[in-house]
Amino acid sequence: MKRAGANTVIFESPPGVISAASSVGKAESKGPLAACFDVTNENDGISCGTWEHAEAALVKQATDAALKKADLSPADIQIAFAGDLLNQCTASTFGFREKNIPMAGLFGACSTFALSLFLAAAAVDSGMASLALAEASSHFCAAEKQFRFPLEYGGQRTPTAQRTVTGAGAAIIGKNSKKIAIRAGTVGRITDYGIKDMTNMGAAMAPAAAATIAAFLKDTNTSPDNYDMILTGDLGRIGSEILVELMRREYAIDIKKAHADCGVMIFDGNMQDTHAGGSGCGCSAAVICSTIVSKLESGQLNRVLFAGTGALMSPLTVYQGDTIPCIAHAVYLTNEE
Amino acid sequence: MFYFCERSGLDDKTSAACVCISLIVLTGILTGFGVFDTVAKFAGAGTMVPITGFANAVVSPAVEFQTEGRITGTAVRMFTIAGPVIVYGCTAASLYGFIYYFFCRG
Repeated sequence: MKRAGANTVIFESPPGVISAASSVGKAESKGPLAACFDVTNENDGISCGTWEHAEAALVKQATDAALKKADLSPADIQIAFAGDLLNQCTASTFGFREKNIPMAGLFGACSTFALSLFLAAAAVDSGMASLALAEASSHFCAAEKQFRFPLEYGGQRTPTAQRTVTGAGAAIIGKNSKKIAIRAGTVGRITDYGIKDMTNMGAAMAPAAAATIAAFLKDTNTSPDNYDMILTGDLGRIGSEILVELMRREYAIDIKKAHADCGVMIFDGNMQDTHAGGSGCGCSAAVICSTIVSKLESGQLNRVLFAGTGALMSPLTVYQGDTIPCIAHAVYLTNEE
Repeated sequence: MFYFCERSGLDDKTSAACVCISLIVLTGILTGFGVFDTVAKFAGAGTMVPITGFANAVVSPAVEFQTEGRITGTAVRMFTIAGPVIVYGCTAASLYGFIYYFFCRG
């Protein structure tokens, strides 16, 4: 492991993705990526009494599926990095309650999966663990309850609003992956352009994504042409447009051709009434652990720069009139074959 | 609804009250069954601005937070959305009442 530039860490003997699995709810199971997910749930309650337990059930489903794919047991995992959107990392805590895996709870809002992937890769590369688990989850109903309005409330959402993805993704990171390697990563800095609108997270998070992507490209001395895909976590349609424009104007980098966004990919914007797209920790986690990992495995994608974006606000600070601080973490994934 | 009330022998004032009560009860039931948000998506402000919107604002958190218990969930959270309307609605009504009482009574 060595540092490159001001922000980036290069993994010298790159840890790899041993296996990855995703678990999603009803709306995601009807979206364009439906066929890619490992576990699809017919209803968002997942036979649990509360939404919080339903999200914990998603965490369990994704973890179990990832372990099964790699033919491993929970005892083989030496550390798990997991996080979600709920207060006190509720879903991750309850999802790992019976697993008996050493676990570090993370909060990076919607950027959590990028952070957990980075930390898991760093743990493996540093020798702290031979197998580490990276996980993130979110649940539409649980997030609405904590951050917005009750589900049955009839107030209408704005066109800039995004739908929190009901889903979880788990990736097992280890030394000897033959196919997918995590080559480098950048932990982002907090960026705040003064957005106060809780229903326009894409616009709030775009500057953070731009800063992290620009920092990564500078530190690694690369350009967007070096990547098959520059994938952001959950900027949605509006945030994606802002990101491309911002990269062009502030950093003179054109990422339009390579850019894709998990929040745009996961739902069908015309059919599913999801406004600006998907959001939440589970959004990037489920997309990466399904279609992106399988495309990297099959060679359809070879070099993916993933920048997970997170809006680090709490409803409390928003009510206090404060702006929304945002962050983005980048992880560089490659096909080794 | 008003016509139906009058046909059953109620006077205008009582009929108006019955219409309000019926709308509130209907909204409560539709919210409880999880249908009202779909109706509101279609009808928009037509359902959210009048008394039906207010009923929905009280019933929806009551339903949502029942998992946290009858007291700490339903009762505590029931007025999270409607509370400000009640507080400032009553304040405004009192203020106008005072103004009317002292300055406008002919």
